[in-house]
Order: sequence, then C-alpha cells, then structure tokens
Amino acid sequence: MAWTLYAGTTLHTFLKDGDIIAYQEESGDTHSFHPVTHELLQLLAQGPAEHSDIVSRLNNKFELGSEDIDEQVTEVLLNLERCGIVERR
Amino acid sequence: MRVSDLSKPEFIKLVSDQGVSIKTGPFVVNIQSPIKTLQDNLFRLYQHNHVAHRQEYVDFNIRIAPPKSVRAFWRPQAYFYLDDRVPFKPLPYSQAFPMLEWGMNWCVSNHAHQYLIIHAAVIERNGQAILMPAPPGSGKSTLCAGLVSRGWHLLSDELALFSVETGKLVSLARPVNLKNESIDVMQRYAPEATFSARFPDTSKGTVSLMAAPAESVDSAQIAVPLRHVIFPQYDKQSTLHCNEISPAEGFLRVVENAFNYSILGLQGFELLIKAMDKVPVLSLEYSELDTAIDFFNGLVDV
Repeated sequence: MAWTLYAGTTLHTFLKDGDIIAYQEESGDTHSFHPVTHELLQLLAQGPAEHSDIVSRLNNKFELGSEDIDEQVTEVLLNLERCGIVERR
Repeated sequence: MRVSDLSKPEFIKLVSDQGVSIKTGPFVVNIQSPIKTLQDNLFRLYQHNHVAHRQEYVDFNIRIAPPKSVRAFWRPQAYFYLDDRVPFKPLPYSQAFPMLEWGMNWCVSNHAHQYLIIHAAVIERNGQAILMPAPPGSGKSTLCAGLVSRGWHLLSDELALFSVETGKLVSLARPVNLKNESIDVMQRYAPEATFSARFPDTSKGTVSLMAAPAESVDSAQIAVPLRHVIFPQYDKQSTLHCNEISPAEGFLRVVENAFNYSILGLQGFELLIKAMDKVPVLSLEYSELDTAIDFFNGLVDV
C-alpha cells in the first residue's frame, strides 16, 4: 500500500528541543511529532511511498531495530490519516 | 484622575447615571449600575485605577441592573448588558459584583483578538514575566495573590494577553478572584490588602476579590517578555516539588488554555512559538505559600 501527504493540507513545523511542533492550517490543530514521525512526513513530502519502503528507510536512518516496527509505523500512519495529514493511494 | 480622587458620593452618582469609565490595562470599560453592593465594591477595589477622560474611546459599555419587571422585587436578579445585549443568563442580585468581574473577562476573551489570550495568571518581577496556566482548583489564584502581596507585580489573575504586535505580555491588572478556603488564607497572609465583600453560593462557591496593588495598576502600560511557564498545583500533602516539562508538551498545554488561538490561527501559533522560545516550562506542586514564593524569587534573582 502506498501513502502520500494529503493534498489539501499545509503543515507549519517548528523544531523544539528535538520534538517537532506543527500547525495544521486547514484544521487549525496543533500537533507534536516525534522526530521519527517528522522524518516520515519529510519522506512523503518527496512523493508517495510504499509502506515497506517507509519502514525500511526509517529503520536505516534511526536504526529502530524493533521487531514490531512495522506495526508501529502503521499506527503512526493511521494516526496521521485520522488527522488529515496523510492519505492512502 | 484616579477613582480614589473622587469622593464616594461623586463616584456613586457617576456609576448610577452615565456610568464610570475606568481604565483597566489596555481597555477602557464604562460601568453603569444602580446596584449598591456593586458600587461599593467597585469603589474600593478599583480605587487605584484611572478614570478615563470623557472623550476617550470606550472598549466595553457594561450595565448591570435588575430587570424592569416583578423579578426586581421577587428573588431579584442582576442582568449583564454589553451595549444593551444580554450575552448570558442573569445571576442573583447579590452576585452583581462578581458577575461584573466575570463579565469583563468574557468581554476581553471574546473580543480582544489583538491579543492571544491564555487562561492563566501572569506575574512579573525585574522585567521578567511568569505565566501560570492552570485549571480551577489548582491554587493558581492563591499563589498569584500571595506573590503579588510579596512584591511581584500582577499582570493578570485570569487572562494573559500576548500582544499580537510585539509578542510581549500586556498587563490587565484587575482584582484577583479568590474562592472558598483561599479567602481566609489570603486575608491572614496579606492583611494589608483590600478585599471585596464575600459572595456566597456562587457557581464557584464563596468568592471574594483582592484588589490589585497600586504599583501593579501603575505599571499597567509596561509590556514584558515571557521568561517562565509554570503549571502550579496546590497539594496540602506535598512538599515543594518541581518538574521540567518538555517544550513541545508545554507548548501544547499552553495552547489548550488559549481562548482565541483558533481565531488567530497561524498568527497565534507563530506568536506563541516565538514567545516561548527558550522559555523553561515547569510543573510545581506546593503546599506552603512562603516556600513557593521563595522558589519564584529564585527564578528572577531577587
């Protein structure tokens, strides 16, 4: 399954001591993202990506190494989808 | 001219007739009411405030009055009028003064969008402001009143105003709203302060207001940068205990306490990011005012 940034949303992000705070212009919501989530969003900003590709690239960058990394990334993507930040393709 | 420059009969005549225009922080509020308890408490608690000149722009025209009906005699009520509109339900006649205070908060938080408005107390010393957002029951107002009685300047007990233009905190030094046990605590702790009458059986319990000291009212034109954010929590079992909160969590918790963040949108976000940049965010549990005040003094090198 491929994921992409939701076309109709604009995020304004700001780094604060390692965490990222983001303002979502359309909803008016403010979010706090873990650096891994922020990296995921930057990855999708380059274009749609397959789930397996996202997991592999995040794993390479952060050496996450956890057995349930696949589920964790799925959970993050589903949360972002609920917020109207990413969508499935 | 200050309110205290008027004799009480002059003041009461003014409030009863065309209303008295009082400067409170950046706002001019015209208050008109025939209710005697309101007039008495207003005269005492706003004695240090300046009376606006007749030609000055009035931000809020407020009238608090009983209805012109049988309700004026039977279980009388007080109505809050803003420009002749009635924005909320009446309260018992005896609660007219706290109603005025709560109504003024409502006026500011619903109309003054030239400020990012946070539900928080703000106090200042040595040009450094500390923001204290906290839910009811946290001991925020008691701590705020205690600090103000020990040399800190009051910027506000309820509404922190961040100027959209400068990002600095602007003073809205008005009476501190004390509830229930904290009234006795503060009357013992600051016997020299001016307190309103007690208003029992309000939606918040028994309420009494403590006047803003003259120095706080006088420094109301000064805008100050934010230096600390502290989430206080009174716990009578606790010794003084402080924890650092991550900047991201602190930011989100401040946003949760904002009245008009969604109205200002991106402008509010950017303002708060800038205002909270490099500002430590702490949670503080306390049980004794003296030790809590020592802690605050240590933050600004008193």
